[in-house]
Amino acid sequence: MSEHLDLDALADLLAGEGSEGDRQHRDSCADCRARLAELEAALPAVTASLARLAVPLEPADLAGRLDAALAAEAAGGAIPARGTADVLPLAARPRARWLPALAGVAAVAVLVTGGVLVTQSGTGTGTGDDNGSTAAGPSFPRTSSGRDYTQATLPGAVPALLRGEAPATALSFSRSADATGSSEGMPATADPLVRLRTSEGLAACLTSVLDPASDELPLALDYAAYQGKPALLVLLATDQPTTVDVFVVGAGCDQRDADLLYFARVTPPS
Amino acid sequence: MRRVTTTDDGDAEDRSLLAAHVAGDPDAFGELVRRHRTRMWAVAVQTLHDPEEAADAVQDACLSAYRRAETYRGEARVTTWLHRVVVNACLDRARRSAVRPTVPLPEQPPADPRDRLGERETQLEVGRALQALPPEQRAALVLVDLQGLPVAEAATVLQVPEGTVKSRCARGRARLALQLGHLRNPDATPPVPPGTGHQPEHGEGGRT
Repeated sequence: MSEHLDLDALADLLAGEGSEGDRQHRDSCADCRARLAELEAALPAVTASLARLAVPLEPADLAGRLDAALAAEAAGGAIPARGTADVLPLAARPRARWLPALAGVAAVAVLVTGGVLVTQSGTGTGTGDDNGSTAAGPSFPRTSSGRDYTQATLPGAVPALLRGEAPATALSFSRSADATGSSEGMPATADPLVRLRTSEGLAACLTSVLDPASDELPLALDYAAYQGKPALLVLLATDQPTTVDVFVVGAGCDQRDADLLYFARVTPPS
Repeated sequence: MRRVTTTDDGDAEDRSLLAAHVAGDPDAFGELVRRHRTRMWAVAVQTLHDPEEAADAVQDACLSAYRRAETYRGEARVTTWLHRVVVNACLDRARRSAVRPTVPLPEQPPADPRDRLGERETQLEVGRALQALPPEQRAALVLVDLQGLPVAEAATVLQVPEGTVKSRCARGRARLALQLGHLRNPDATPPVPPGTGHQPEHGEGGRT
């Protein structure tokens, strides 16, 4: 008896692409036929999961960025190569690492479309925390950093958020402690997260995020943005002391739908 | 505004935009990108998982297509050609990061994935499992199972025979089935370390 078929060989057989040797083995091996049947039975669930997979949000500045890159290309200017030296420890990864590489029209496009102006302040130099919001209730840290997080910047911000401090390197757009707090690029009067700052709105949203079977509370909240979209970060404990679940929900978060923009189980940098 | 009478999904207009770009129209290519940016983004972010890498890949692809527009021969639809450029940009990035120390994804598999948020959690789990596949399998699955391209068109995009696309998709789905716990006796099928893709490719060798 030749060696049993491995998973790739089973998959190829199901796709009608198996080798002659593999087909012969299958025909002579009941074990492999059983595994083949099991794999075949499992595939509909896999393809269904894939078909339902949501596309992550397009960055708000992508269109402007592409326009700027093409404009620079048309003008004969080489776009500085980016992304070639971007392998850094997560904690040291610069936020929006492509921003400094774009100049002129690109930066303007970013400012207009994203409203994001990066001011790396290095360490926490009195950016002040924004504890407190109009939402009353049990006490856990709430901040309104207004920061525009990305997948890369999020883990590094967690320790400060757990302490109730705005992240050390805050963005320069308006940060505010209460219902007038604005999110990036938005006029203060049109705070898209205003509903989530009320007790009722927040409670409804948390219903969608928290485990209904438990009475857990968030570890911390931050009214901010994620990839240019207004967002509320909800930090939750996990069963591991070193990890934190971060749910990034959009302005539409309510009791029926968390409006989840992103989720990460984060090991905060120590 | 350019108006071309089309009977299909806009390919004729795409072709005229591309031709206008090659002929020197300064606005044509930007218009083409605007028409297809969302699709390009979807392919890139689903292939690379990392939004920043994906945005970089889309930009790489746009510049590459901009420069090489005159090499478009018109055999394939423009969207197919654009898909190819995007997928190539993604695979370049995926391969580069495969030989470098990689930036770990900030999340880890949830200890109990079905607790919170049910379907959404499952989606995250599927996304992570997809990310762990070898880049070639991932790209094939993104095109066929996520973007819904016919196998023949995916083969044109990936520039491999249809049989290779079928094999890559089947192997990718099988690994996902294992990863997502749909197989009862995974011990019998030891998984390849994620992302290595070193397993000998049955039925594929002569076709790539």
